[in-house]
Amino acid sequence: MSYEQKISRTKPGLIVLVLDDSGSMSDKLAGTSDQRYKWVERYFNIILNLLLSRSTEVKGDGSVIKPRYYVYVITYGTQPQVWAKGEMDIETAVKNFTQAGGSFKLGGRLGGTNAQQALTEAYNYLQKAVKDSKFSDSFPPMVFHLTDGESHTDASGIAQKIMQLSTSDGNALMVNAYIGTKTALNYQSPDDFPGYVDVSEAGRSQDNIRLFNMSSTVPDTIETNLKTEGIFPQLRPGGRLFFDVRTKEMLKHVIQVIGSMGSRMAR
Amino acid sequence: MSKTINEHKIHTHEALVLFSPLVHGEEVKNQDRAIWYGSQQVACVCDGVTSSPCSEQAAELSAVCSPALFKGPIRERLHMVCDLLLSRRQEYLAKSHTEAPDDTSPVMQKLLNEIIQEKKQVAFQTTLVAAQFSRDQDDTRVHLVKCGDSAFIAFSPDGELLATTLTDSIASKPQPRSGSSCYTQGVSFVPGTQILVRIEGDLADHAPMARKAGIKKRHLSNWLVSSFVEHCPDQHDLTHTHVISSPSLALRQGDILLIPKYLYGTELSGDEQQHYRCLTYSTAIRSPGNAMSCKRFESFSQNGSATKVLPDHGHNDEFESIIDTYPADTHFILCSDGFHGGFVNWSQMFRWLNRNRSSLLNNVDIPEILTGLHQNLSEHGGDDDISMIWIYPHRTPQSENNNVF
Repeated sequence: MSYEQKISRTKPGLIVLVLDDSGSMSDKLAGTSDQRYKWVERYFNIILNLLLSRSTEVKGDGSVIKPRYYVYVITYGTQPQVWAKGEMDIETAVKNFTQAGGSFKLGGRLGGTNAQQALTEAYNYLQKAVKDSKFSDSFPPMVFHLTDGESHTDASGIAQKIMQLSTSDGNALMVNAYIGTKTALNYQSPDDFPGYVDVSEAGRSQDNIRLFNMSSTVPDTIETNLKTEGIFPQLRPGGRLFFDVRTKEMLKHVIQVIGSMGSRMAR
Repeated sequence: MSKTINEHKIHTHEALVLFSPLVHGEEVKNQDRAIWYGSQQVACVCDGVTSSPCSEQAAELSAVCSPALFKGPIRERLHMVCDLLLSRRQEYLAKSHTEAPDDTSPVMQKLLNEIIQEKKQVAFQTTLVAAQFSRDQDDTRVHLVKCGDSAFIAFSPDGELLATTLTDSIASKPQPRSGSSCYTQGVSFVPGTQILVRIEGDLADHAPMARKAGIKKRHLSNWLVSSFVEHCPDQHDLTHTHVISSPSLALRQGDILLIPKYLYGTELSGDEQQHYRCLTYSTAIRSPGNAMSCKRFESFSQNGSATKVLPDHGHNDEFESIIDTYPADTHFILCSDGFHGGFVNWSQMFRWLNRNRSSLLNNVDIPEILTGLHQNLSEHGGDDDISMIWIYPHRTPQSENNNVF
């Protein structure tokens, strides 16, 4: 059986963030007065702190941080850029993030939207990472791709290659979150979000269809975690890790998908 | 006249305790506790929550107090244990000055201090599964108390699974209690209540039903097929009234139930062709009408993202307390998720018990057995402390000679 491993120090979780920083990310998020990238960083602050909390143990009069998560962050526009030092344990990642003022240095400054090259950068890194003894038996890595616009390049092929990479616990997971798109799915909020099971629910947009097809099927472990933790309590089985982001609330919950990795670490 | 030396009645239970902490380099986790109190016939397994400070102390305290759980009303007794844990937590919060290391930036220090304070609020958390065993005429009576994902399993010497808290079956899934009220979906059959059933025949004569219920061919003769007639409203054991969540079966008139033959109940008169019995709730009763639950009866369900724990859930009455009766030769397992997590289903676990029975009982090759368990667990989801208590009827010369469990 796959996707069974707990996240632990001996088998840490690996998250690759691929974040669109094209010009449109400086547009305001629907229903708010702040730019999209600011909301993205605001909610990443929450999830990074959560992952740090899960990695921190209080022992006697002290505390110890056990690296249970690693992150690799790529921001992209026309070209991809690797953030900070590349692969970092969660403590280092949070340090860098907080020292930068709670920021990945997003700003909608990187021009166009070249998802193919960004995901190629992710693939090149992951190809080596899954063979590293640090990750080779871990819960499969998650590539979390966040975009707000139609890509100028077709990343379908490289996404399929990413999903062919694997650890002993299963294939790498491809998550695609699309800010501001319209789909055919009827729901009001994360509380009744049913998930995208059939491609027809993604709507007529070719970009939606492409991103749907680029997304992994939700493993049972993640489905259970998303439901029991109240992130998407109505999620249907067999859906894809494809999310449309219509509101800031939806953005917050979609980013929390990152924390659903792992057959639960000791509670 | 010579005496027959093989006629020994089984009076008490013995137990084997298996315990192995997770070791990673120089670090030892050691948050499980497993204790068998032979003189009081009480077994207890506690599993401290990793993310909770001082959880190993919580597990120790709860396990040590476990015999006291059965010396009075269970709710009061469990609340007492929860109060002890909460008191320890309060002392810890008042006295402990845990802070983030000085060599971090002020921003990180602030963040880490917030995390530490948050974690200290949930100090002293543990799961608990405890059981007291006693003789009830020719059967074994078990009072089980459980909070969290540590498990209880009852099985016959030849490996038939009689009851488990590990599956997705309706009988093991907590439902909100409702006593004897009738739902639109039927009557709720819960611990401490009785129902009237009509015996339809032996399961051996209903092979398709046996397959649906997941009962193996060699065990068919142990089961009766019955149909639900009505609830017995006056029969309600108050022992179970304090439990908010407990397993239950939702029944409509005519629903088929599979009953192990050892649950004799009270046979009532009927006409020549029909036999009726009055049955007390047991976790061993199966409802083949729920095909999914029966199919999964032997499969160990995957844990969700959180377990109930003492003291927090125990204090909110979110625990299970069940009194059940089993044949005298029944074996029992109490274990932490570090043990049961290494097995996909009951068959796999029983094969392991069977294979290692002699070594475990004779204390031979224990380190190798434990290493194998850790490896197995690591492959299935990640290593952990492992603890298990195997409770079995007192061994007699007869059982030794026959080389049975």
